[in-house]
Formats: sequence, structure tokens, C-alpha cells
Amino acid sequence: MFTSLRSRLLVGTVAATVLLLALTGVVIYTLTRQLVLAQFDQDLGLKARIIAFSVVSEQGRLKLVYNPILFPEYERRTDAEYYQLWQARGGRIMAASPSLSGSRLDQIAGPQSAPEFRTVALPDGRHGRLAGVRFMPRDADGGTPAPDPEREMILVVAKGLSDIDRNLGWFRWLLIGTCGLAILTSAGVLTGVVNRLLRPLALVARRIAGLDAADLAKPFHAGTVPDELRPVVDRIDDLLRRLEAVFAREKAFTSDVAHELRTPLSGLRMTIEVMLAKPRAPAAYQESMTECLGICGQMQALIDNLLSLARLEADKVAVDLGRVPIADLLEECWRPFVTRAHERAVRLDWRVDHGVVLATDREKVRLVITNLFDNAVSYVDHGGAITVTTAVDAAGCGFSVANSGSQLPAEQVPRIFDRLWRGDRSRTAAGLHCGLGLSLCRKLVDLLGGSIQARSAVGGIFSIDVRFPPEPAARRRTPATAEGNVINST
Amino acid sequence: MRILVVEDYAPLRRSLSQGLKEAGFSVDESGDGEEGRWYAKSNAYDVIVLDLMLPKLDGISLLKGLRAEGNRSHVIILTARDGVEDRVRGLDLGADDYLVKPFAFDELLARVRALTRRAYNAKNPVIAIGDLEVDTTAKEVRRGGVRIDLTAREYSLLECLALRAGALVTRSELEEHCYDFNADVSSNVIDVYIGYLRKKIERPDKPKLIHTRRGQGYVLAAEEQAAP
Repeated sequence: MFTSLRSRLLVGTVAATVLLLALTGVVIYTLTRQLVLAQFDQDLGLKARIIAFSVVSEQGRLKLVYNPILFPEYERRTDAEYYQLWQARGGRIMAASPSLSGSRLDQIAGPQSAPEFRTVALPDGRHGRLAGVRFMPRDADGGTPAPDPEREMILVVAKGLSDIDRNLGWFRWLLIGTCGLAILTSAGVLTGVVNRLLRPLALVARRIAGLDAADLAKPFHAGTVPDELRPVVDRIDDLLRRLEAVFAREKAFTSDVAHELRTPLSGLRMTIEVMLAKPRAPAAYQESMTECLGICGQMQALIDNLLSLARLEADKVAVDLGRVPIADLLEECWRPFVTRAHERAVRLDWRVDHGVVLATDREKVRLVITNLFDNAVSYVDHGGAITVTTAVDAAGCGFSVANSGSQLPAEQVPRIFDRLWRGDRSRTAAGLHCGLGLSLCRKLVDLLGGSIQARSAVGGIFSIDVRFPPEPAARRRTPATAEGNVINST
Repeated sequence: MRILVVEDYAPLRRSLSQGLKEAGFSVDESGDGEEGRWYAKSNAYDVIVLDLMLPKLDGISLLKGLRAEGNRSHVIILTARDGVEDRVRGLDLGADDYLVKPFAFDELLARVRALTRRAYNAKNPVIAIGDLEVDTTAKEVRRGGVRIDLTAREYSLLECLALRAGALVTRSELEEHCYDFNADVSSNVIDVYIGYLRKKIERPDKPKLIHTRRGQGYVLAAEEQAAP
């Protein structure tokens, strides 16, 4: 119902104030009423005692000696007060105020020490109070009478409560008015206070609502914020900074990808446009179609690699660890490259140790090896050499792939793992190479907890070393080595 | 008109060269910056179509080097980057035009033609010599309003003379501009083709247009001027 923090705070605080003020009002009213009634009863009791003091026993006869002028309330008919006197034993009515004019009062009386009180409807219908006393009438000669149940009397005086009721009524309305006013005032003050307290929150919310990609470079900085909001604002600032970095990286990458796709696309377009410019022999179309197919393959490889890289970067790839005898995997991966190596008259130097076993993900390492072999076969010089080595050294266990004929300057070696970076800028030599293979290798090796390093040595020998953390128990199966086993692929 | 294509991406380079040759240009092609520079220094090209990202020597350095050496060939830059700064940089370094990949072949052709006209200060794509009209856009030739069919080599030779109408064009200049680098240029091939052209263009009842300057070259003009 109340979805905003402001309305919830306001309704909560105002409701609490109303409840508190209402309770306070009820308590004050009840206490005041009790005090006023106690005072009334004290006065009524005193009056009963005065009237009782006026009852005098003279030679066995009772007389009521008071001056009616001093007590006109017992004489009049309106707004009157009443009294009635009984013999305690037998209950004979001995006297009654003229104001009663034949009506009767209830007979009540406690012990002699204290009067008893009761609220009743008076003979004239008004709401009133009775005070009853039990007493011994005093003797006319002023002596204190001895207690005697036969002579004991009961006097009841009655007085209307209308004055008190009226005054208490006024007091009640005054209380209600005061409380109402206090509630209204506090609601106003609370609204102001809540608004003021919530202002930084509203400011933060407005800044967040107004954020777009263009604002990322600016710090979030929502003015002075209370301590409670500081962690939120700091986190948002931190988040924006990271988002900005991601946006910038993605922008650069998108631009690179567009660039990489434009070149094959322009090749495709140009080939088709030139072919369509005039009628040609079927062989010309066939040649051109083959060229187009090659370009499509290249674009597809680029997109596939991009997707693999994107998945790896989003950490959406699960690692399936197992024992991988690396020599077997290297041999398996080399098979598809035999023909290409043969065409280029490459000498293969196969220095693998069948005892090296890695604890890693076989399929991911296969991808790494395939990429490295593809690079080596593409960039090796005609008649050059490719060296494949397994290694167990301080850096861990793994393998190295090296090729001769590299023209990569040493200062460019650190850049070869960058996305879309190509050593010689040449698309022609490498065919399907699009500058993503080594980035992919690095991501895969990182994912598997290993390391990958490139080296460029004198004489155009370029090598890449891949190492994984050693697995102490299963690092080596047998002590046998097969070093120096040179296979001539031609 | 002689054109050099320097582009490392083989499919694009091959199609570009084939398309330009079929449009009547003499084309040399190169796949890297160093070789491209050697070609550009060895021959006088009317237009060089230059990719920016090249192996060995990038396009910008190649262009800078050529301009520093006073090479006046018109250069069209091909770039896969469409950022304004990339284009401005290329143009500032002395390129005459640029195209962002991928582009339409017809657009490249139109720009190459515009640059060849600029090379000879001819703003009008149709060059008139007397009643002979050479339309460099449609590659068509008319005399007295009658269309004359020419082979690609004949047209190329005539266009070369027409673009410099009234001026002496030497045999070696004709050889450079009209035949691609790999073609076999025998000693009298120019004279043979001039002979073919004369047969097709000259009319017995009309003034002679192709004039021979013995030992020097040829002049295409409505009236023969006195030899200097």
C-alpha cells in the first residue's frame, strides 16, 4: 500500500505519535477525574459529618440543630442537595431534607470511622453521589455519648455531580483539542524532518536514474551523503569505474573486430563484383567461387575464435581435469599438419618424453597444441625446422613448440598474445590466421592454471613454452626419455 | 593509364587488379610495402591504390617516403578503419583520396578515373581533339559523331595521347603508361599500335590527327604544329 520510504516513515511516525498522545490523554483524564472525585467525596463526607454533628439528643429526643440559611441547598427544589436520617436499628426515618419532598435516598453506611460513598441517580433524576455515615448523636449538654447500638444513627447526604461532569467535559474537550493540535503539528514537523533526511537518498536515486554510458567517465559523487549512504555511493563509484573500463575495452575490441571483418568482406565483394562485370568462362567462375569459399572460411574462423574467446573471458567454460599423457596428445594433434609440413619440406624435431603426464583438461590442451602447431606450420620457412619438446623443469611440466624462419622482432614478442594482433600484419601468408589463436591459447592456459611464454632467439627461432603446475605423484610414469628422436617429415 | 595496386590481402589484390585491367588500365600489383615501394620508384604510375596495413612497410610510411622523394603519382588509400583521424592523417601525408573497406568496385573505378584526369589537368571526362571525342568514362571514341571500335590496348594508347593532346608524348612514356610491367614490350610495338589506331581514326577527307615526330614520339592534335 505504502511503497515509498517517505510515506512509510511518515505513516509510522504519525501513527506512533497519535497512539502516544491518545494514551497520555486518557491517563491524564482518568487521573484528573479520580482526583476531582476524591476531592468531591472528601467535601461530601465533611458535609455529612457536619450534618451528623447537628443531630443532638436531648432527653431522649433527637433534634437537628443547624441554620437553614447556611444550608439553602437542602431547602430548594432545583440544583438541590439532600440528606436523610435513619435509626440504625429498625431503620426508622428520623429526618429528611425539605428538598427530598417525600422521596427517599438509599441507605448506605460503613463503619463509624469512615463514610461510605456511592454513585446513584438522584431523586430529581440527576447523576449524583451519596455519602453515608454511621454515628452516635451527641448529647445536648455537650458530653460524648457512649457507644450504643440502640441509639446509633445513619445519615446519608447526596449531591449532584453535574458541575464536576460539566467541568470534566470541558477538560476532556480541551485534552482532545490539545492532542489533535499536537498531532497535526508533529505530522508537519515529521514530514519536514523525513523529507530532509531522505533528501540525500532522493539525490542518489536521481543521479542513478539519470546515468547513461556517456556519464561513466565522470565520478558518481552525489554531493555530501550521510554515513549510512557512503558505502552505497562508494560501491556505485567503483562499479562505474569498472564499467567504464569494460566499455572502453569492448569499444576498442568491436572496432578491431569490425576492422578484421572488413578486409575479408571487401575481398569477397570485390571478387564477386569483378566476376559479375562481364560474362566469363565456367572455369573463371569456379576459380572465383573457390576463392570466395576460402574467404568465408576465414571469416568463420575469426567469428568462431571470437566466440570461444568471449566464452573464456566470461568464465563460462567448465574445466574437466584428468590425467593427460602429453606425448600421446602431441602426436594426435600433429597428424592433421603432416601434409602441410610435407608441402613446405619441414624437418620435424620430435623430442617428447612419454613419461610426462599432466593433470589438466585434455580438450583444452588439445586446442592450445593445435593452435601452436598451426602457427608453427604457417610461419616456418620453406625447408625449415619445427621442434616439439616435452619438459619438466622449475616452471612445471609441459611442452614447447618452436619453428625456424621467424621474422618477428624481439620487441614485438610480448604483444603476440594480444587479441587481433598479427606479427607481420600479413593475412596472405597465414591464410586462416586472424590474430586470435594465441590470445585463445593464453586464455585457455590461464584457465587451466598454467603459464605460456613466447621466446624469439637468434637465427629466427621462435618458440612458445607452455607449463602447468607439477602434479607430484603422477608427474612421470617411467624414467625413460626419448630425447633427440628426430623425425624428418619429408 | 598505369596503376599500381599495393594490398597484402591476396583475394582483394587479385580481384582489384583483374577489375582494373578489364577496365582498360595497365596494372602492377604488390603484396607488401617494401616491394610496393620498389615498384613505385621504378615506374611512373598515374595512380597508386595503397592499403594502409601492409607487411614489412606500412602504407603510411610508404606514402611518406614517396612524397619525400618527390613522387607525384596520385594515391588512393584503402583502409579498414573509418575513424576520421585515420583519413585525415592519410590525406595530410599526401594521399589524394581514400576509400573505406568494403567499397564498391565502380566507386574505386570512378575515383581512379577522376585522378587520372587530374593527372593531365583534364576536368572534362570527354576530351575533344578536332572532331575526335575520347570519352574517358565510357572508354568510347567517336569521330564526327561516329563511334569507332578500339581494342583495349589501342584505346589505352589513344587515351594517353588524348590526355596530353597537343603535346609531344615520347615512345618510352607511352610504353610506361600503357603497358603493365610484366608485359613484353618489343621495340616496335608502339609503332605497330599507332598504325592500327591511324587506320581506325584517320579519314582521307579529314585533317590528320596523329602526327609523328621522327625519333621522338607522337602528338595528337587537330592541326600539326611546327616541330620545335
